[in-house]
Amino acid sequence: MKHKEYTKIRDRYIYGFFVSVVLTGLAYWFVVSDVFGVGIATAVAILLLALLQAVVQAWYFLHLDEESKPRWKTQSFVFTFIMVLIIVVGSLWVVMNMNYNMNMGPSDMRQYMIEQNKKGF
Amino acid sequence: MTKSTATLMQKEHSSPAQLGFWLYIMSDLMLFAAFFATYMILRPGANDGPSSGDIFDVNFALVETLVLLASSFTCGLAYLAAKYKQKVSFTRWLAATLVLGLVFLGMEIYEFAEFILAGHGPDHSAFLSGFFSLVGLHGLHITAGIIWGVVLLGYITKRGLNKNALRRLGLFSVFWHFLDVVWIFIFTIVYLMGVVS
Amino acid sequence: MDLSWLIGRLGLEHLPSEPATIGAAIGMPLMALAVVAGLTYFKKWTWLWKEWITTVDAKKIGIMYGIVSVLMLIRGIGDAIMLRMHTAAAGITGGDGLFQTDTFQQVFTAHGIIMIFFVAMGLMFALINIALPLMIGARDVAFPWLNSFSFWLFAVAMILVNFSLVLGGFSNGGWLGYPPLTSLEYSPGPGVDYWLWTLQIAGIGTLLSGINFIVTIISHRAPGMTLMKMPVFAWSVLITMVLVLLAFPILTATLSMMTLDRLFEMHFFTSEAGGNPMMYVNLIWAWGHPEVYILVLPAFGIFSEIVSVMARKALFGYKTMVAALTAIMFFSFLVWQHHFFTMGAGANVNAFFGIMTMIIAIPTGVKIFNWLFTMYRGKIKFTTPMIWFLCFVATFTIGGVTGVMMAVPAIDYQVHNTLFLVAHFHNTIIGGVVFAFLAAITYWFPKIFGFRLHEGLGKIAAYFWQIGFLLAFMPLYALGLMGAVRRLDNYDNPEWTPFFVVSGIGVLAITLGAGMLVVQIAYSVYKRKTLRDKTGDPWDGRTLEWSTPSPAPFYNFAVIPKVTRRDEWWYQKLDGVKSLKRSDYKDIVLPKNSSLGFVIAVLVGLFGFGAIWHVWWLMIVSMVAIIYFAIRRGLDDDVEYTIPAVELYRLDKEARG
Repeated sequence: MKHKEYTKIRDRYIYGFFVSVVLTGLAYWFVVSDVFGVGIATAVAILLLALLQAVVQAWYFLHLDEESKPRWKTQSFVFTFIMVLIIVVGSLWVVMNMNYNMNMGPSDMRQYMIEQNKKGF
Repeated sequence: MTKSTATLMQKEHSSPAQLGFWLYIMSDLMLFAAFFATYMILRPGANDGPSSGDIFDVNFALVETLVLLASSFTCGLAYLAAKYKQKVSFTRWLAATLVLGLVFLGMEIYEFAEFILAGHGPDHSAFLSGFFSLVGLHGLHITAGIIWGVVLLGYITKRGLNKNALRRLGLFSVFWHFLDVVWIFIFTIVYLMGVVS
Repeated sequence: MDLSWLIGRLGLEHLPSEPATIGAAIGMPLMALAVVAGLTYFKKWTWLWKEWITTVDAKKIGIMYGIVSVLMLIRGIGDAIMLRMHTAAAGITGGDGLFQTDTFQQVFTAHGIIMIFFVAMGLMFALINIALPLMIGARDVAFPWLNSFSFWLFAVAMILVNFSLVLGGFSNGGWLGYPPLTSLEYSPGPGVDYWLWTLQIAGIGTLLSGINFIVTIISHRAPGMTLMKMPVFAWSVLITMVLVLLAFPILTATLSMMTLDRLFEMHFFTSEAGGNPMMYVNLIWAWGHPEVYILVLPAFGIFSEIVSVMARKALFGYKTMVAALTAIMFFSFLVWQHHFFTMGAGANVNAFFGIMTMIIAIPTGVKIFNWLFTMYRGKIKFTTPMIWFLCFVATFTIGGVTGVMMAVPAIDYQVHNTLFLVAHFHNTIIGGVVFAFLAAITYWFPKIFGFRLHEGLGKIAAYFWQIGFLLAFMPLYALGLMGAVRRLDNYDNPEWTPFFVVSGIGVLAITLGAGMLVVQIAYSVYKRKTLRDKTGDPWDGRTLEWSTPSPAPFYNFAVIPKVTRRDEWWYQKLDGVKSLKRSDYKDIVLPKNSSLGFVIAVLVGLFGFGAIWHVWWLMIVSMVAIIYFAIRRGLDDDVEYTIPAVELYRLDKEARG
């Protein structure tokens, strides 16, 4: 009986490993052969593949699907993921919007800062 | 999923140490999130130096990725062997995990050294600061993981696969798998997206 | 001779040169020396080591947090007095005030850091450590050793911030230290590094505590206490710690990047080589806004307990209270940009974050009404904690309303970075957080020390604080609207002088209030026999902590209670409390004391000190030692001991008299 469980879990690891390799290879192929021809489409596609692979590993390596109720780990994982998205996407939105409104690249920004500093605080 | 595997797993999930360590991992995800966000913001700031498309070698990064993925896999097998008290098999898989980890770390150091020797060190531009710190942070975690793994290997060789050893090994395997999950995003966002126009 | 390999950039030129700082630099080592001499004379070193430094008992750790925080409160108020006396004097004499500009800037930076990190956060952890395990029927926190380590990181950071007075000076970049002012180019000295490492070390300690308390609440509740039967204070701690868990890593990351900027000349936040200072502001507030909720949510929890006990009624709207907390947990991560509306983001961004900010005021409003409805038709006892609560409702509501005003980006453009803002956040932090924590000290004091604090003196202190608060901060609202910016050390507008003078008087009144608290504690210690709490339940409480004898024994509960409903202890009292039988006592397992929390924290402090002064060998040596001791702790299997049932029975009989 114990042996049966052992092979079952081992097969899960093998399955997870195999799927991860395939997903990694797929993303690599998308980029190297430029399958979509459009930068933004490739970026979205490989980001989705990365997300999928993260879920696969959470399932098959971290065993989140087998957690018993009230599923604290899964809950905290999902909530953290939402917060990570908020922080990353929010930061990009906020700061890029500022860059856009200030309408200057790094070197212009440096000049602007120097002039501001000359005016004193 | 059959019922027997489910009950097998459930036993560990109730332990406070497991939950606490999991929460630490969550906070670590947030730490990486801040570094990712900074990297993405700073990426255009190349300061007349190289940009991401100029210096990243995707093939090299792919090998790194596969090495780390393999080590994550062997780590899972090591934990499984430990749970069924197969000490020889366990030692073999854990040693494989650590060796693969060392190979990965060596590749990372090699890449860093190559950049620095070419004059593209972290103090050259904001882009490189962001790159070195994000990948370096992951490397620091890997280093910590290797030290931890070696200590555990020593402990288990000396005292056997007792209850405490299994508990610690469980935490270690969560840590190691998690590092691989983070690396997927480094591979995708830093390396792959770095060469996408 | 070049000694820089040995002492980095340490040098005699970093000793203080101004009268104000020289005084502090001489006074503090003298105080430390007096403490050391006292301990040696009374032969208390072993006692200190065994009973306090190595302890892992949450209640003792809580007391230590409390002592550090009260000391830091005194220093923080001292800083506040210096600031407001300076601005009042600058107006009256028309001159430059009392201190040099650089000193003034260091003082307001230190005031901010000390009040937030070492007073508010410190008192918060003091109260959580003391009350939370008792409240949920736990024997201790989930990871007692980690708890001791967190405290010692906090203490080491506190020593670091104060040590800057003696050597090197503190940052003058404001409490959040915006670059490029704090970058290597404009602030090369050690002050900013002190600030960085203080926050970094205290922040990591806080993060570890966050993990600890979440797990404590999730897996150490008494049998039968489902989440919806927990006291609201426990709920507020749970939500707060989730915020800690997800917000503090952002602080760690941001400070690390700035450290890399300063130590290795990288370019995250510099104004050259592609760096982006606005990214710093963005990240620090992504931590900073959840942080203000981290401070205030436990305060809400405390008042929820106090109001319900003092009104002798179950809390009104328990479920809406929990829902409001959960809503705040989510929304507090969606409002950070309102701290920099004026920094150049477009209308869409500002509008989004403005609206989110207004939305987050709603759950807070729900709470205020819940407390008011709890009071409605209750038999209210006007004890000291209740007086604090009444002061809180009035004051905090004003602070909330001015906050919603500033949530409108158009208004914010007018009052951004003025004293109006300063008045607003003191309104919420003093009126909300500090009042709550002072109320909680009065409320839980007997549970820890076995005697109550004197009621009359406590009420006088509360009135002084309330009046002093109004005097100190209402003028700042007016000044802000008149255009006075914050962190201003001199001005030539005579119309502002009266307001600054009134504000200065207000600070003195608050100081009197703080003085009354010290008098209250001293007098209560003197009168401890008459103020003795014999029942263990001096307020006729509702939650489990009042079912233990006072002071609570080191094992908390001889027998863990079974819970069947909210306010379990209250209903047990109505049903008639059954005394424990001899056979109810079972062997219990407790954590052993450990010196490693203290040792590793000290090493972390040395690492930080090395980083501040660029003493590389010290950093390497302490890092190796940290790893060594961490492994030793990690592999230690002998961390618990057992108290047999017989012994427990005897101890419990003794504690209950």
